[in-house]
Amino acid sequence: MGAHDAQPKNRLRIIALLISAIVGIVGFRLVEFQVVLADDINEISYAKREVQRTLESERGSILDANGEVLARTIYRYDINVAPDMVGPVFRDIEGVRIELSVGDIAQELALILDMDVNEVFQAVSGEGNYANLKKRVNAAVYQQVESLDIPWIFVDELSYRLYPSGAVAGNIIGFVDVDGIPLAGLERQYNTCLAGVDGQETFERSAQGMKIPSSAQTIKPPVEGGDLNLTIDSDLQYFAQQVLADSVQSQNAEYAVAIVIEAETGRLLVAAEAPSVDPNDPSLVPSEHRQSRIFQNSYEPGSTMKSITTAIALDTGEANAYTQIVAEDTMRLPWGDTIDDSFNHDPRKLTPAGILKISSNVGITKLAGEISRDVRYDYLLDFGFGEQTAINFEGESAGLLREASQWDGMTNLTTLFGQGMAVTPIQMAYSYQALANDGVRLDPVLVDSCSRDGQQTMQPAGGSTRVVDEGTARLTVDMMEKVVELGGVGSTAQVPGYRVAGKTGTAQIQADDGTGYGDSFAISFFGMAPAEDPKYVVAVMIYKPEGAINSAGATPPFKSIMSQVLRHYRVPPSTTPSANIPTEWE
Amino acid sequence: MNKGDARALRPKAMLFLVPTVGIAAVLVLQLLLSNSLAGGAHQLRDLKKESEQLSTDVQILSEEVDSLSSQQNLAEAAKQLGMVSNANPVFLNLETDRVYGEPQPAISEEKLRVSGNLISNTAMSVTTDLSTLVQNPSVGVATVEISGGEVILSSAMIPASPTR
Repeated sequence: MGAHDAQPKNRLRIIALLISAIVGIVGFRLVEFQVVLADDINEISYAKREVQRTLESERGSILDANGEVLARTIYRYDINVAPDMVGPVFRDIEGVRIELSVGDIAQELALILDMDVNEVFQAVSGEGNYANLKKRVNAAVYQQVESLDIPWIFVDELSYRLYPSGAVAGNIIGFVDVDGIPLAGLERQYNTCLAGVDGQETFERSAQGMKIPSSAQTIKPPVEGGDLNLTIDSDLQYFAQQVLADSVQSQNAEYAVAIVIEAETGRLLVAAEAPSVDPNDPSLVPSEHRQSRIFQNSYEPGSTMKSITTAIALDTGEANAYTQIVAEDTMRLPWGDTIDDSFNHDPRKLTPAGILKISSNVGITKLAGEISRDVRYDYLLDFGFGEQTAINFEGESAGLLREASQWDGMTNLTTLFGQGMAVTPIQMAYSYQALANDGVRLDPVLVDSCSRDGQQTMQPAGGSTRVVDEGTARLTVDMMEKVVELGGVGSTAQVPGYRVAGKTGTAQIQADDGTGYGDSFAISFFGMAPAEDPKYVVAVMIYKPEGAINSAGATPPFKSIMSQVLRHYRVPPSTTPSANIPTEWE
Repeated sequence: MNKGDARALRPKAMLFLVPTVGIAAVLVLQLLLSNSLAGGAHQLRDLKKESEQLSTDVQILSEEVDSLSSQQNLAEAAKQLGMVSNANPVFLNLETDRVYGEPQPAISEEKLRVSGNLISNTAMSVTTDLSTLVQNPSVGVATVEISGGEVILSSAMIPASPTR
């Protein structure tokens, strides 16, 4: 009995010992896995589940002076298909489950995507996991595709740059490529303001590759791009572009530009060009229309330079309102060359105002030809010629103003009436801004600021240059008013109700073969209003209009734009007469 | 079994009953919690989907607004409505009652009408449908009637001109 009793007890002890050993080992491993190696195991496990994703930052908007959006970022959608998964689709229609064949689905997609049915059918019938059906469809189309609920259709969301006003200010705004890389204009120049910084997030995915809800962790938040605030008034810009497009069409010109400046602040309100580029699709126009000629093209200004020369003559004391000049229609120079007026006339007894009124080359040469070339060169620099403006636009031209020491005898005289030098339209316009602003040239302002997180950066420095005395500027404007009040072509620039001062320009353009001046002209009219206290400067230049022999083609667009500017900004009409200064003498 | 034996056995039954009920309660609670979490996940998914749909709706509508408010569309609509740009604006100075400029009626000649759009805009997805404005009397400027009742000054003394 004793031996029989001992055997079960021993077996029980052995089993208990074994169970204890197993529990001990399991417990040990449990502690090892759950405590000692827990972090390492978690890390390995997480690495297998973890997916990193770039959080795309949104490029900032470009806004006009009134906060109207000229460029913003939206989304477009690539519609893709997984051909390997293509099959019939079941759909519940009014409680009835029906099967739609691949052909039926292809027809539905073709209708929504505006594609040929065969093209869609071919794409979905291929092999592999990816085939693109259509790129960059808009949100409305995307929504229609989504509503079909086709399991083998998947969509990629892509950032897309939208320019809601199309070609309005397109030449200065510039554009980006399909990947959002800025290629031209302010988009490129101010990329540091507009571009954001991409962020990063991680999330966990299941064995089936699906994102596990609530597992997303933002490692680095994206920094959104800033908004670029321009001084451009988009409504006025549109109006000016309409006027220019009409002028280019009717005069069969190569191109035309118009500039509007707020005289007392230097703010650029309009920088219009025709033809212009629609940044939504720059490929629609040739490359030469995608640039900004206002900043990038230079031309010989011709007679618009006479206002500047007159101001220099007045400021140096070389002339006054009553200076008497006898101007013939031609002037022979000691070295044999001649300077001619644009029309034949008997000798005229002219004052400086009269010289501007009939735009006499001989008269301006006699008026200011004796002023030292070094003095004139310094004045021209102060007026802003020969160097880029403070806007420093991408690819901006400095024009061409050789140092005075390099001027030959002829250049010394031709620069008086805008030949032998080249200017950009923006330079010429701001030289008139100096006259309109009591002799102080302000740095052009095109960008007001960059706003980011409530902070304003990139604000303009606000530089200014005193070019001529206040009295000189006032007298020059009074003289320019006679061009509009009494001049031939100039009088067609009159704006009813307002006193307007300005100057015509009909500059011959060098022939393409380099054999001197050809038959083409750059015609222009630069002016300001109201002349008694100029608020706005308007400049119009039309390049190579067909059949032009004077600037009569430039005054109607000037008049239209100036009228609109004065009306737009509610400028009260003039109530005083023009200054009592002579244009001729006896 | 007498009463004493039954009393002796009662704690053992309780020992079995309490854990069983406890485990059952925990399981039921876990089930409820799982259901609740699953329901929440479904709700979260539905709300996310709805949010995405609403974002897409906002994008579609804002692109439509962009198109309709673009200068190109407005110019075309103005032209179709026969609007005329008056080249002779007149300004009134309310402080001095002074009139600046010479009032002249806008002349409805073809050449003076607001010109049709010449500036391209490939972003325009919709344009103003003027047929709706003309046909539907409840909308549009073409059929708006200006109410012309008498306007009484706050002093209630002299009726002011309703055309003021």
